Amino acid sequence: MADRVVRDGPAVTVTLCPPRGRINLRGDAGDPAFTAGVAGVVGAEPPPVANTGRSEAEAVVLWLGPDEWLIEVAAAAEAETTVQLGNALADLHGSVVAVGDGHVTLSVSGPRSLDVLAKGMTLDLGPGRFPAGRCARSLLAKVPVLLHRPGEQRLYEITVARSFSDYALHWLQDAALEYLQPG
Amino acid sequence: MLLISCPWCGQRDESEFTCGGEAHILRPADPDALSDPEWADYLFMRTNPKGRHRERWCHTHGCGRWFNMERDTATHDIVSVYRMGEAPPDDRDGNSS
Amino acid sequence: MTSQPYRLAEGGVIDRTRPLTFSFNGRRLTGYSGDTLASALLANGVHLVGRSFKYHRPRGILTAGTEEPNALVQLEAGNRSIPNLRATRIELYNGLSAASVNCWPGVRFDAGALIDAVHRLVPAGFYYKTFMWPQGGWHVYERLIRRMAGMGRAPEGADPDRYERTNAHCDVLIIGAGPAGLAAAVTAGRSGASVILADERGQPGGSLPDVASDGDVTGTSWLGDTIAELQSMTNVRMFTRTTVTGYFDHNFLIAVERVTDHLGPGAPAHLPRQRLWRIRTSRVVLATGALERPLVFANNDRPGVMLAGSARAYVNRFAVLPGRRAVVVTNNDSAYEAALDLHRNGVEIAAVADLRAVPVGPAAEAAAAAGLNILRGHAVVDTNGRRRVQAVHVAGIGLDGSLTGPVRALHCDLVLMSGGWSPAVHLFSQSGGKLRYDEMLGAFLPDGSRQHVLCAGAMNGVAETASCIVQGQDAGKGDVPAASEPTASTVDAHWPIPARNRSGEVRQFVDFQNDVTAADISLAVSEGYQSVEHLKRYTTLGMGTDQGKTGNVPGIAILAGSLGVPLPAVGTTTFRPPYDPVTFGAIAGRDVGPLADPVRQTPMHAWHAETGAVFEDVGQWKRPFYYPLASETKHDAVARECMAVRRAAGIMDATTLGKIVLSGPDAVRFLNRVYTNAWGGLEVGRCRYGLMLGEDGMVLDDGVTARLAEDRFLMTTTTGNASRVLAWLEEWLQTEWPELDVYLTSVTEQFATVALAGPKARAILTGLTSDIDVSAEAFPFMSWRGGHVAGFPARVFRISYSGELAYEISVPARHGLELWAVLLRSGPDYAVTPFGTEAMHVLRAEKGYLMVGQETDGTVTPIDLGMQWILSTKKDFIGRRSLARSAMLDPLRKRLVGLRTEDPELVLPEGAQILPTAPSGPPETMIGHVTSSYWSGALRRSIALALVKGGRDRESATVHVPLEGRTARAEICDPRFYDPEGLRLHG
Repeated sequence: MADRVVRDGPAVTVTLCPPRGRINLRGDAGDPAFTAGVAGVVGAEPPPVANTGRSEAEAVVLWLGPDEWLIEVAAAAEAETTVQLGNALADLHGSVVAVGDGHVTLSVSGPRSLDVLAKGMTLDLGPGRFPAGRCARSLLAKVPVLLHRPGEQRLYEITVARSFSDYALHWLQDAALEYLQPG
Repeated sequence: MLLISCPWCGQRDESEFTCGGEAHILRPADPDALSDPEWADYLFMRTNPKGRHRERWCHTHGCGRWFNMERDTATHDIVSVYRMGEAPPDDRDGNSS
Repeated sequence: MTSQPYRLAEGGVIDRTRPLTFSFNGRRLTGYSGDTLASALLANGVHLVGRSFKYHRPRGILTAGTEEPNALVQLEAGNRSIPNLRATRIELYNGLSAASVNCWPGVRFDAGALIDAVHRLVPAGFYYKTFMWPQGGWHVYERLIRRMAGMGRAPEGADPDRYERTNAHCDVLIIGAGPAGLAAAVTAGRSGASVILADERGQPGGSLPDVASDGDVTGTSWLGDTIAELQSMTNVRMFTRTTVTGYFDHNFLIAVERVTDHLGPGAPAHLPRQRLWRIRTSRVVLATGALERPLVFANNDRPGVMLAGSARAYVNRFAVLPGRRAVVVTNNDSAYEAALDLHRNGVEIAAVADLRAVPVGPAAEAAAAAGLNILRGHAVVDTNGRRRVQAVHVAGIGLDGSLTGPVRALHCDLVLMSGGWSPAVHLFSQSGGKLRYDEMLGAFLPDGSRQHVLCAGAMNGVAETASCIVQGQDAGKGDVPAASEPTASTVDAHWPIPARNRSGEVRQFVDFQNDVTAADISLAVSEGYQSVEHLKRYTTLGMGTDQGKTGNVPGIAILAGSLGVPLPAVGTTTFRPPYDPVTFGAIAGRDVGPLADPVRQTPMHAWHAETGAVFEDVGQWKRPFYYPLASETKHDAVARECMAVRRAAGIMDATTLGKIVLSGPDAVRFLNRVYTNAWGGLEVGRCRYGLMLGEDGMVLDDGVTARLAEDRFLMTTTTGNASRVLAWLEEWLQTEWPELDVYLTSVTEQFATVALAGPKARAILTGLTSDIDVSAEAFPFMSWRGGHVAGFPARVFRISYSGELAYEISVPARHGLELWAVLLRSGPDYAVTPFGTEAMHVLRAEKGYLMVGQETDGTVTPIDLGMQWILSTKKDFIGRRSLARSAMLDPLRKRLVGLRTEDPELVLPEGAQILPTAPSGPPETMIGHVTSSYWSGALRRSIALALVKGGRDRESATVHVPLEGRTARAEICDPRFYDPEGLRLHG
């Protein structure tokens, strides 16, 4: 097969990521006290630009909606960060809820990763359309997902509600089949 | 399959959205002040025009925000989208795509 | 086995180094790589390929492409088989096996052909006229007709092949890789745009290999250079074997790629057989070419009668002679090119009958110069030959269309006909494009679309290759092609060509696949079917798998002629997707088997599955329905689980209940608006049952909401409504009450929840926690406490859906399975029994508790359910005003009651109708229906809930429930069957 890719490892790899801490954050991005309060705890302000994320050493903050973000931290840090954020934003219009157990992140990487994702996603992920740091909530097949591209390499993280994770993993592995068999 | 511009997320496939029907129908402040027919009118009656129509849509599988859309129900042309609480852009004479 | 007697010694784009064997109707034949099934059959001299749909007339190969109406075959056998594929579109592979459809016992002798002999009994619309008597007889006739008219056979087992569906985006989608499409692609590609070029054939080039004799511009160098340049562009994707079949709103198009069809059953198993592309593009360039039309003369359907351009393609592309001695009949110049190409390759051209009195055009001049016998102002008026044409009859035809002079017979084994060309405007029309009729070309041309689409080349009526290329370049730039003045040769329309005699025997076919003749159209018009859309449905003109691609314009012309109106006044029928038939496999993609729909699993799912739970689908969730022990029936298992909860303790996986955190200072105000009861007085640490209505007053959902902190609540919803309720609440907050300071966050999946119910629940819980005081005084009913259970951080709610002392324990989801295991192990003396949703249904029904979706169906108010107690009179809430509408106060609305059957063993079927008196024959008076019905082990009898007109006003009355073959009697009673005082609950 001409389009078989066998350079450095498999054409596409689908994996289950280790558990991580996640915090759902709601609030007013236009309020400097709010953004400063968040930055004071996790080291990054909630990004005001739609469908973008900010990555710092301790945390990744992903835009979910104009007043909603997902903060990703180490699993062990979730409880304490939640308390600290709650305290920091106590007097502000906002909401902090730990949701790490409710989600699972899968990753799709490799040269054919976009071909696998395109089978289930209507987002335009073509060249230049979904650069590093970009995130978007959308559908993968019939599963609501949060798609995130953490860096320049062809690696995409897909966060789904916990109950969907087996199905989503199976779906992605099945979608990858045509790129993994010997031609 | 429509291509809808979410006011926040930009162009996304129709499959991510939910249509909520006619826009700009306000819940009466004092329902008791309405007669049964008036209340039924608020509850059930919608204009359903052929042509330009203002609807509420929700970017359900995206940012989760409700917004308004002016759309031609016959051609499916989307004339404008605007956020909840914003006045509809009055471009009825200007933009006749 | 003769070896391809009609194959030319050289030429064509076939690969003679790769001979292939295949079988057709059991006969072993050979062909070459690059052949279609049709070209390989013709190379072997096989013209009789199928039988027509209605009359079972012998049919051959009319065309060389997608538009083929006749040559339908069943490809392969078994579960990989596909019926009704066109032989002209099947790429030959080694070992291919195909058979004719719609004939029995075989294509050469077909018993169904008897219908042809009595065709006058089955005119257009015959089944509407003939089979309407006796009443109900249609059901018998239909089966017979379907068997006679049935085409190929659908496979019966599951399709073993994989199919894929995928999404693609581009700036420019170009459809058709002929000269215009290739020129558009290379122009758009050079601009840097992302381009997809899709073409249905195996190689780009469009019809160029069909017309290899064409001039300098299209020499193989241009074609090769252009393809090479496109292949070098990383921003251009070339999709071959890909047919764009649907053009939808906002430049969304569907295409089907036949990934491995050309390899046959030996294709690599991991590759999909077909892939359905969903393409979203900014611009579309349509370069879909044109389709040649037949002429409508008597017996124009015999095998060996072929479109002139198609015959030309067989000679040039496939190096196959479709016959040895041909008669050409045409109303335009293009057929002369075919005649010349065949002549050059040794086919004897007996005559060219040109309907035009004065043939004009370069090809006609070249044919005259080559010495071909040209009959000006002549037509073919009939043909002979049973399974292959043997002769034609020609006669002069006057300007008024009437026949002149004597009829002459000419022997031949091939008839080439050309009725002009119809631009392939199907996709353009689907885009919302308008068409205009061009008199000179006798064809409909594109005339402006509301979408971003440009047309180029032959589909604009342009014939010369060089002009097509220029148009493609313009369209590739995004400009409306200049010089789109049609240059294709003019057409002298004669629809239909008169026959030798005008008796009812004349069979001039317009739609070959559905056997619609010119006479059928005239008959339909005389019977009043004068709109083109009515005509189509009455005669089935254009309703076959080919969608009338060849016969559309001739049919419309004959209709216009019958009506005596100009053709544009008739218009066309609507072109609808798909342009080309799509397999169900491609539509389904991988949405089959376990991946058909998402399956949601709780953290305890593995235990349920290992234990052998029978699952119930609740939305997408898999919930344990019951847990049968070794030989237990469902009835036994559910009864055992219920008894365990009533006597000791049971646990149920309640993770799937929706959970929403509401936070913000306005949370109470918000709850007051969305629930029917009041929330201000609820203390932190307490919880309350709430009922949610739609604005129409009908019950939407219910659940318990706990106050976690002053401005923070945790709401639960039913499993099935979890996402709907969250969306409902968000809608009100965002659209109606943005001033409320409340945020909602779903935590349904964050927690695993176990319901622990039964008289021993407190004792069990006591043993599992050290920081929660579970005494009745410290932890009363309808309150919650935080702490640790089995060492896990937990929230415990003292709520009950079973009527027993019960707790719901929520822990972070990752601990759910361990918590479940600990509870099961929590002492043999307590004998904790896992119970499923069916036991829960029984337990709650014994208590008369409502189940949303069972007792409610969107037409039931709280008053109907006897729940006036939960309707606050001190505030407004969603739905309140509707409850005051006069119709809602009707005492004869259906209301919730209990039902006790006279026979305590009888469990009524849910949904059974309820009559006030014994049935006396239809129509019966029905006063209600059973909503829930179970065997109650605790009460040792059956119980049922029902909605009955008048409700509890009928208490103690006997009602009648008609069942299959008998009628049950039951008494209306209080729906609270078990512990109506609630002593156990509060214990």
